[in-house]
Amino acid sequence: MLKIDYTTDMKYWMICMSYMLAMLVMGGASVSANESNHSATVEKGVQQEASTQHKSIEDCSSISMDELVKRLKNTKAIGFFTKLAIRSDVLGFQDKVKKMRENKQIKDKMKDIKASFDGLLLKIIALLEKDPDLSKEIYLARHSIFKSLLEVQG
Amino acid sequence: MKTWMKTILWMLALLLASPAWAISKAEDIATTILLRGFACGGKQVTQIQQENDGHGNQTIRATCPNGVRYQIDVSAAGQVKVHPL
Repeated sequence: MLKIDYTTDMKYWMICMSYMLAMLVMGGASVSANESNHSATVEKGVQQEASTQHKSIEDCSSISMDELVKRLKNTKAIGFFTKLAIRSDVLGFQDKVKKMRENKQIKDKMKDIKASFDGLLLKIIALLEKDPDLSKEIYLARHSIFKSLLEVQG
Repeated sequence: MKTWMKTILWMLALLLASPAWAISKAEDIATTILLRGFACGGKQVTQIQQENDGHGNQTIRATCPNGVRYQIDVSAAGQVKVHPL
Protein backbone atom coordinates (compact mmCIF):
# COMPACT_ATOMS: atom_id res chain seq x y z
CA MET A 1 0.00 0.00 0.00
CA LEU A 2 1.17 3.50 -0.85
CA LYS A 3 2.35 5.30 2.20
CA ILE A 4 2.20 9.08 2.05
CA ASP A 5 4.42 11.09 4.27
CA TYR A 6 2.36 14.28 4.61
CA THR A 7 4.97 16.31 6.44
CA THR A 8 7.68 15.77 3.81
CA ASP A 9 5.22 16.25 0.89
CA MET A 10 3.85 19.40 2.46
CA LYS A 11 7.37 20.69 2.93
CA TYR A 12 8.17 20.14 -0.78
CA TRP A 13 4.83 21.63 -1.79
CA MET A 14 5.49 24.72 0.29
CA ILE A 15 8.96 25.13 -1.19
CA CYS A 16 7.57 24.81 -4.71
CA MET A 17 4.78 27.29 -4.06
CA SER A 18 7.11 29.85 -2.49
CA TYR A 19 9.49 29.46 -5.43
CA MET A 20 6.63 30.00 -7.90
CA LEU A 21 5.40 33.03 -5.94
CA ALA A 22 8.88 34.49 -5.89
CA MET A 23 9.14 33.98 -9.67
CA LEU A 24 5.77 35.64 -10.23
CA VAL A 25 6.72 38.63 -8.07
CA MET A 26 10.04 39.01 -9.87
CA GLY A 27 8.35 38.65 -13.25
CA GLY A 28 5.76 41.27 -12.35
CA ALA A 29 8.43 43.62 -11.15
CA SER A 30 10.44 43.21 -14.31
CA VAL A 31 7.30 43.70 -16.47
CA SER A 32 6.43 46.93 -14.66
CA ALA A 33 10.03 48.04 -14.95
CA ASN A 34 9.98 47.15 -18.65
CA GLU A 35 6.74 49.06 -19.14
CA SER A 36 8.17 52.15 -17.52
CA ASN A 37 11.35 51.85 -19.55
CA HIS A 38 9.55 50.90 -22.77
CA SER A 39 8.79 54.41 -23.93
CA ALA A 40 12.30 55.52 -23.08
CA THR A 41 13.74 52.54 -25.00
CA VAL A 42 11.54 53.25 -28.03
CA GLU A 43 12.56 56.90 -27.99
CA LYS A 44 16.21 55.92 -27.70
CA GLY A 45 15.81 53.41 -30.57
CA VAL A 46 14.18 56.00 -32.81
CA GLN A 47 16.93 58.49 -31.99
CA GLN A 48 19.59 55.84 -32.70
CA GLU A 49 17.95 54.92 -36.01
CA ALA A 50 17.71 58.57 -37.00
CA SER A 51 21.34 59.15 -36.12
CA THR A 52 22.37 56.02 -38.07
CA GLN A 53 20.41 57.21 -41.13
CA HIS A 54 21.90 60.66 -40.81
CA LYS A 55 25.35 59.11 -40.50
CA SER A 56 24.81 56.93 -43.57
CA ILE A 57 23.63 59.97 -45.56
CA GLU A 58 26.70 61.88 -44.38
CA ASP A 59 28.89 58.89 -45.30
CA CYS A 60 27.37 58.73 -48.76
CA SER A 61 27.79 62.40 -49.40
CA SER A 62 31.44 61.95 -48.49
CA ILE A 63 31.88 59.21 -51.12
CA SER A 64 33.79 60.69 -54.01
CA MET A 65 32.64 60.23 -57.57
CA ASP A 66 36.12 59.18 -58.60
CA GLU A 67 36.08 56.38 -56.06
CA LEU A 68 32.66 55.16 -57.22
CA VAL A 69 33.78 55.22 -60.85
CA LYS A 70 36.96 53.36 -59.89
CA ARG A 71 34.95 50.73 -58.03
CA LEU A 72 32.55 50.38 -60.94
CA LYS A 73 35.52 49.89 -63.26
CA ASN A 74 37.05 47.26 -60.97
CA THR A 75 33.95 45.31 -60.01
CA LYS A 76 33.77 41.69 -61.17
CA ALA A 77 29.97 41.70 -61.06
CA ILE A 78 29.73 43.01 -64.62
CA GLY A 79 31.84 42.26 -67.64
CA PHE A 80 33.99 44.47 -69.84
CA PHE A 81 31.48 45.02 -72.65
CA THR A 82 28.68 45.76 -70.18
CA LYS A 83 30.90 48.38 -68.52
CA LEU A 84 31.58 49.92 -71.92
CA ALA A 85 27.85 49.96 -72.67
CA ILE A 86 27.15 51.69 -69.32
CA ARG A 87 29.90 54.21 -70.06
CA SER A 88 28.32 54.89 -73.48
CA ASP A 89 24.95 55.43 -71.80
CA VAL A 90 26.42 57.84 -69.25
CA LEU A 91 28.23 59.77 -72.00
CA GLY A 92 25.00 59.85 -74.00
CA PHE A 93 23.16 61.23 -70.99
CA GLN A 94 25.82 63.91 -70.55
CA ASP A 95 25.56 64.85 -74.25
CA LYS A 96 21.79 65.14 -73.88
CA VAL A 97 22.20 67.44 -70.86
CA LYS A 98 24.81 69.48 -72.75
CA LYS A 99 22.51 69.94 -75.77
CA MET A 100 19.65 70.97 -73.51
CA ARG A 101 21.89 73.46 -71.75
CA GLU A 102 22.99 74.91 -75.09
CA ASN A 103 19.36 75.28 -76.18
CA LYS A 104 18.49 76.71 -72.73
CA GLN A 105 15.89 73.99 -72.19
CA ILE A 106 17.45 72.47 -69.10
CA LYS A 107 14.93 73.94 -66.64
CA ASP A 108 11.92 73.02 -68.78
CA LYS A 109 13.13 69.49 -69.43
CA MET A 110 14.37 68.76 -65.91
CA LYS A 111 11.60 66.17 -65.40
CA ASP A 112 12.70 64.27 -68.53
CA ILE A 113 16.36 64.48 -67.52
CA LYS A 114 15.57 63.11 -64.05
CA ALA A 115 13.47 60.28 -65.56
CA SER A 116 16.28 59.43 -67.94
CA PHE A 117 18.81 59.46 -65.09
CA ASP A 118 16.56 57.27 -62.92
CA GLY A 119 16.31 54.74 -65.75
CA LEU A 120 20.07 54.68 -66.12
CA LEU A 121 20.56 54.32 -62.38
CA LEU A 122 18.04 51.49 -62.22
CA LYS A 123 19.88 49.67 -65.01
CA ILE A 124 23.22 49.97 -63.20
CA ILE A 125 21.77 48.87 -59.88
CA ALA A 126 20.10 45.86 -61.51
CA LEU A 127 23.38 44.93 -63.19
CA LEU A 128 25.26 45.15 -59.89
CA GLU A 129 23.15 42.42 -58.33
CA LYS A 130 26.30 40.45 -57.51
CA ASP A 131 28.04 43.42 -55.89
CA PRO A 132 25.39 44.57 -53.39
CA ASP A 133 27.76 46.90 -51.48
CA LEU A 134 28.58 48.95 -54.55
CA SER A 135 24.97 48.87 -55.69
CA LYS A 136 23.82 50.21 -52.30
CA GLU A 137 26.46 52.94 -52.28
CA ILE A 138 25.54 54.05 -55.79
CA TYR A 139 21.88 54.15 -54.82
CA LEU A 140 22.60 56.16 -51.67
CA ALA A 141 24.82 58.57 -53.58
CA ARG A 142 22.28 59.00 -56.41
CA HIS A 143 21.59 62.67 -55.64
CA SER A 144 25.30 63.53 -55.69
CA ILE A 145 25.76 61.56 -58.92
CA PHE A 146 22.84 63.36 -60.56
CA LYS A 147 24.20 66.71 -59.40
CA SER A 148 27.71 65.96 -60.66
CA LEU A 149 26.36 64.78 -64.04
CA LEU A 150 24.36 67.97 -64.40
CA GLU A 151 27.31 70.11 -63.39
CA VAL A 152 29.62 68.62 -66.03
CA GLN A 153 30.22 71.24 -68.67
CA GLY A 154 30.87 69.95 -72.16
CA MET B 1 58.44 19.32 -56.64
CA LYS B 2 57.36 17.98 -59.99
CA THR B 3 56.24 20.43 -62.65
CA TRP B 4 52.74 18.99 -63.05
CA MET B 5 52.17 19.27 -59.30
CA LYS B 6 53.29 22.91 -59.37
CA THR B 7 50.92 23.58 -62.28
CA ILE B 8 47.99 22.03 -60.43
CA LEU B 9 48.79 24.07 -57.32
CA TRP B 10 48.95 27.29 -59.36
CA MET B 11 45.65 26.49 -61.04
CA LEU B 12 44.04 25.81 -57.65
CA ALA B 13 45.41 29.07 -56.26
CA LEU B 14 44.04 30.98 -59.27
CA LEU B 15 40.66 29.30 -58.89
CA LEU B 16 40.50 30.23 -55.22
CA ALA B 17 41.67 33.77 -55.86
CA SER B 18 39.07 34.59 -58.53
CA PRO B 19 35.57 35.38 -57.24
CA ALA B 20 32.97 32.66 -57.72
CA TRP B 21 30.66 35.09 -59.52
CA ALA B 22 33.10 36.39 -62.14
CA ILE B 23 31.21 37.03 -65.35
CA SER B 24 32.03 34.97 -68.44
CA LYS B 25 32.40 36.55 -71.86
CA ALA B 26 29.21 34.82 -73.04
CA GLU B 27 27.25 36.34 -70.15
CA ASP B 28 28.87 39.73 -70.68
CA ILE B 29 27.89 39.87 -74.34
CA ALA B 30 24.32 38.69 -73.58
CA THR B 31 23.98 41.44 -70.94
CA THR B 32 25.26 44.05 -73.41
CA ILE B 33 22.68 42.94 -75.98
CA LEU B 34 19.93 43.15 -73.34
CA LEU B 35 21.17 46.58 -72.21
CA ARG B 36 20.68 47.90 -75.72
CA GLY B 37 17.07 46.76 -75.59
CA PHE B 38 17.26 43.63 -77.74
CA ALA B 39 15.70 40.30 -76.80
CA CYS B 40 18.15 37.48 -76.20
CA GLY B 41 16.13 34.75 -74.54
CA GLY B 42 18.81 33.82 -72.05
CA LYS B 43 21.81 34.93 -70.07
CA GLN B 44 24.54 33.51 -72.31
CA VAL B 45 25.38 33.71 -75.98
CA THR B 46 27.08 31.10 -78.11
CA GLN B 47 29.20 31.02 -81.30
CA ILE B 48 31.19 34.14 -80.40
CA GLN B 49 33.34 35.60 -83.18
CA GLN B 50 35.59 38.54 -82.46
CA GLU B 51 37.44 40.71 -84.94
CA ASN B 52 39.76 43.69 -84.58
CA ASP B 53 40.28 46.07 -87.47
CA GLY B 54 43.71 47.24 -86.33
CA HIS B 55 42.49 50.74 -85.43
CA GLY B 56 41.06 49.78 -82.05
CA ASN B 57 37.56 49.02 -83.33
CA GLN B 58 36.12 45.65 -82.42
CA THR B 59 33.32 43.65 -83.98
CA ILE B 60 31.73 40.80 -82.10
CA ARG B 61 29.15 38.44 -83.50
CA ALA B 62 27.25 36.12 -81.20
CA THR B 63 24.09 34.03 -81.20
CA CYS B 64 21.50 34.36 -78.48
CA PRO B 65 19.53 31.40 -77.05
CA ASN B 66 16.47 32.66 -79.00
CA GLY B 67 18.38 31.99 -82.23
CA VAL B 68 18.96 35.62 -83.22
CA ARG B 69 22.52 36.53 -84.17
CA TYR B 70 23.74 39.95 -83.18
CA GLN B 71 26.67 42.14 -84.10
CA ILE B 72 28.23 44.34 -81.45
CA ASP B 73 30.42 47.18 -82.66
CA VAL B 74 32.81 48.64 -80.12
CA SER B 75 34.56 51.75 -81.39
CA ALA B 76 38.04 52.78 -80.35
CA ALA B 77 36.41 55.56 -78.28
CA GLY B 78 34.40 52.94 -76.37
CA GLN B 79 31.00 53.46 -78.00
CA VAL B 80 28.95 50.25 -78.06
CA LYS B 81 26.36 49.61 -80.77
CA VAL B 82 24.30 46.45 -81.16
CA HIS B 83 22.28 45.36 -84.17
CA PRO B 84 20.70 42.08 -85.21
CA LEU B 85 22.15 40.34 -88.28
